[in-house]
Amino acid sequence: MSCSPQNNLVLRIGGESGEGVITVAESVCRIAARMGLYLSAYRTFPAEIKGGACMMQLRVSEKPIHHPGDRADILVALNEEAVRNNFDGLREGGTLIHEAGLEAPIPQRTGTRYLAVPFQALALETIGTLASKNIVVLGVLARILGLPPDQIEALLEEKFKKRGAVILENNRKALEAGLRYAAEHFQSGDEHRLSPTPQTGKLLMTGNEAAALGSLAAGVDCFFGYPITPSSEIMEYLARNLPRAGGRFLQTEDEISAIAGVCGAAWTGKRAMTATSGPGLSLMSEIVGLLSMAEVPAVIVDSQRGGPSTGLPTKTEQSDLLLAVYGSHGEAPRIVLAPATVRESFDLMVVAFDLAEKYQMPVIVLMDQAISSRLESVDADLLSGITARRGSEQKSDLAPERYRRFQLTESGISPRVFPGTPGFEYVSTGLEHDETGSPEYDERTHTILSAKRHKKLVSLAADPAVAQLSSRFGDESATLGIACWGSTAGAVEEAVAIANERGIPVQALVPKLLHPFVQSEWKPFLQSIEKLLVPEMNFTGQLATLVRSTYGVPTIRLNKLKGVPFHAQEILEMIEREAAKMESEMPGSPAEAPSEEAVRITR
Amino acid sequence: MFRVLFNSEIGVTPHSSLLSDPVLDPGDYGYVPTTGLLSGHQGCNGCGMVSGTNQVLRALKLTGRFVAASIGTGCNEVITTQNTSCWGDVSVDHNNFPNAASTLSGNRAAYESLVRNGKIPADSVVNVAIAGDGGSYDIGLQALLAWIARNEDGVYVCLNNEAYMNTGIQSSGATPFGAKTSTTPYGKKALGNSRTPQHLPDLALAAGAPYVAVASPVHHRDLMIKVQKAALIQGPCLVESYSVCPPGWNTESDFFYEITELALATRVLVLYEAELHREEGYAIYTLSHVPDRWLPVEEYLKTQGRFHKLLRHPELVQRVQAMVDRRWEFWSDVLKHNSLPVYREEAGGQLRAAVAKEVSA
Repeated sequence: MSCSPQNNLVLRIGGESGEGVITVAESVCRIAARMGLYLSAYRTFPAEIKGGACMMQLRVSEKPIHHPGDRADILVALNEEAVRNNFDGLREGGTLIHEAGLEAPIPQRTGTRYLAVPFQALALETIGTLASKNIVVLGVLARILGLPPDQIEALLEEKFKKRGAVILENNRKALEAGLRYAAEHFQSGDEHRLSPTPQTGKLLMTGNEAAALGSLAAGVDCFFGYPITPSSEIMEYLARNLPRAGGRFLQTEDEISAIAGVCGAAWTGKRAMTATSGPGLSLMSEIVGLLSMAEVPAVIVDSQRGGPSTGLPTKTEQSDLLLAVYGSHGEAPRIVLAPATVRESFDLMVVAFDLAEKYQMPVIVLMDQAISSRLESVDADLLSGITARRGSEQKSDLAPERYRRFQLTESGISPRVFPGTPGFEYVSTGLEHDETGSPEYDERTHTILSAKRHKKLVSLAADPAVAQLSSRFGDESATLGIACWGSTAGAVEEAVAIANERGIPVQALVPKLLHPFVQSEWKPFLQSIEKLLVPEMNFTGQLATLVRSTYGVPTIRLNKLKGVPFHAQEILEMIEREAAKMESEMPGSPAEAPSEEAVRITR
Repeated sequence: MFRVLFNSEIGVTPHSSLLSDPVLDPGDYGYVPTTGLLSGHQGCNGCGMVSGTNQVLRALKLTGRFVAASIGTGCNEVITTQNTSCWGDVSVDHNNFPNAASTLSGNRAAYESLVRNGKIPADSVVNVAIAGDGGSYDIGLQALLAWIARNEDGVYVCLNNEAYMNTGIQSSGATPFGAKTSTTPYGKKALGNSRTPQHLPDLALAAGAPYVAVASPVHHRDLMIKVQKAALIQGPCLVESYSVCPPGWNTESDFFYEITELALATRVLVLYEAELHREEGYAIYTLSHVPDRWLPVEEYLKTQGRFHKLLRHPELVQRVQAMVDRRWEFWSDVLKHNSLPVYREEAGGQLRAAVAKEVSA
């Protein structure tokens, strides 16, 4: 996982926000991506608006990866706080590169390689200011990682050319100073060297950017939104780019208006969406019910953060699942999707729009902060082969006078004719209505129309378009299974691979469609296993709750509520513990007894 | 709506037509025997909200009452609740984004019930809601106007830094025309914020607030007098504090004072107060500060990176100037009424010409 040399590296850089930590880490990411390497990176945000501790960890590999790694091979710490906060995150035998002038003692550990670099002094010596200190850091790293000089040169030019020749020249000098210092002082080992691969260059994007780009690829016409961390980037991306694509971007005064705007635009047949986080989804819940009742397609992206209420605005959590599935009064069928990687954040947006229009109901795409701000390399063929399936206008074959907007059909999907078509006028209402759309409260109508709306979910679960969405990996003969969703999948994928290598049979299912459940993916999976583990970043185990209530199978939960994503190690420990228990258990005894920890958490 | 009357007083005054006694004047350099926001906040260097909140709390304590604050989500909440000791002996009720004013209502109702039951003496608590411009102009507007319509007693302070700063500088209803934010970008066709900002004190007055004021922490004496009046006048009163935001406005962090003074000299910011006699149907406007000399708006726009690209389009700068001039027509009436010269010595001979052209066109 962490030891193999060459093109397999976890690098962590920590410092003060504003010191350029993120710039350095992103530069390394960009160069690695251009070398054709896969990578996955995440950063922590300080709670403060300016200043505060900041950290970015990136992982490079030749194979596609969806997890930024547990412990770092190289830790670069620019101040004392960064050493203190991150030293535990450095693996045994890793390398600590730290600012030479730190006063506090550096924690000592045998096997760790210590490299002290006077970044500050070098920057002052070379150009007289601290502005390019981070580029000195980049220089040192470039030497240690063996980054190709032409790539760095190109990157510097891109970054600084706009800002004038002097700044560009200063940064070149700073880079040179870093390279020279590292060459003079450190023996060059091959341990951490990155080498170019024959693969083509990759695109680098965050989950939010991927989702925004995905919505553009799906042909979104209108976006309505209200700023909220951590989904604001989607809104900002579309503020810049949606008008260029001929669409309309509107910032509303709150989330209720945002979703109501989506409702208004989508009702007329345009593809409309909004992006928000948990508190926003709470406000939108009432109109989610209306969208469901009036059968209006809409796409809502929820980038989850720690809750309830204002909660942990900059931290990750998976606690909006039940809100997404059930939130709203009454029973309002909707579709819930959850991407597990940055690439899927792109792909599922296209799926979301298609499903929303085909099934004429709201679609909630559940991301979380860990995916939203995760930086991953994505194959450059991203945009090829996208065809938006506009299932929107299903013209009625009937004569206008016999058109019924909410006509009962086999699939539950009624013919949708856009408003303004002469002869096909109808009233769209949140009141319970009959097939023509006129309000009707009698005993039969509510039963029949409720059944019709829910029937669409049954049709959806059997739709071939959703049959291939989930991913299943690991040893398919294993009787120990893991079900997880969202950003947790990356860590599970790693843990399962390691466990299988160590001879522990385990398999995993990552459903992307969380509501309704697709029988054809869940049933065979559940039948093939005896014990189901559900790791989630929430307190009550929301996916576990859904699985238990749908299939009646016992689950063993692992809940993490720290605001940070799972480490592969944590999942691995859970697998090993449960596998050992399975071995020791007598045949016939209930295999599903919850773990001690799970019991402690629930009671 | 209501007749507009003009107060004969110009400048800072501790008197109010709605109060029998003048409020305490802390003086220009005088000693203020209260504490405001204590140390430990995590605001940026040069943040106008921090000193604004500090002065608001000091002024409220000058009334001799216990301060109960309901604060809406926003920059101010983020920077002052990381270390809750910041608030000292003020009770703080942080509620969600949309409802600082509704929470104030709840706090007030509980207080009134305690008074009615004889548990605490009357006039012992002042209820204040503190929210940002996002929480007041956008998502909190409904709660704010409904609170004013209910005519409850309390003070609402809007710390206006003209955008959503803590979520990454998105535009709000208070964002000035032409300002660059992350949701009103600049490009070949996009030219920053295309909307003109709303003016919250106008909305509040129209909704029936007995007292509204605009103040700035740079003019602390003025701000503290206004907040005291808002606390003592019966009914829902609103004070808007102009809050310089160095990261959001893209300015140097030691430029707080100069930017405020330039805002006043270019008349982008007008410090005033207005008292509404709701039943009689008239409002009295008072200007609190008239700058020594007037400058073209360009001088103000130049100080901030958010207008950097706007300044490349002289016709847009001209539009900003025209908007400021047209708004000033109202205030020139106030000045005229006080027999002060309407047009003073100013840098802009061309300024007046521009207005004339606008009118003739």
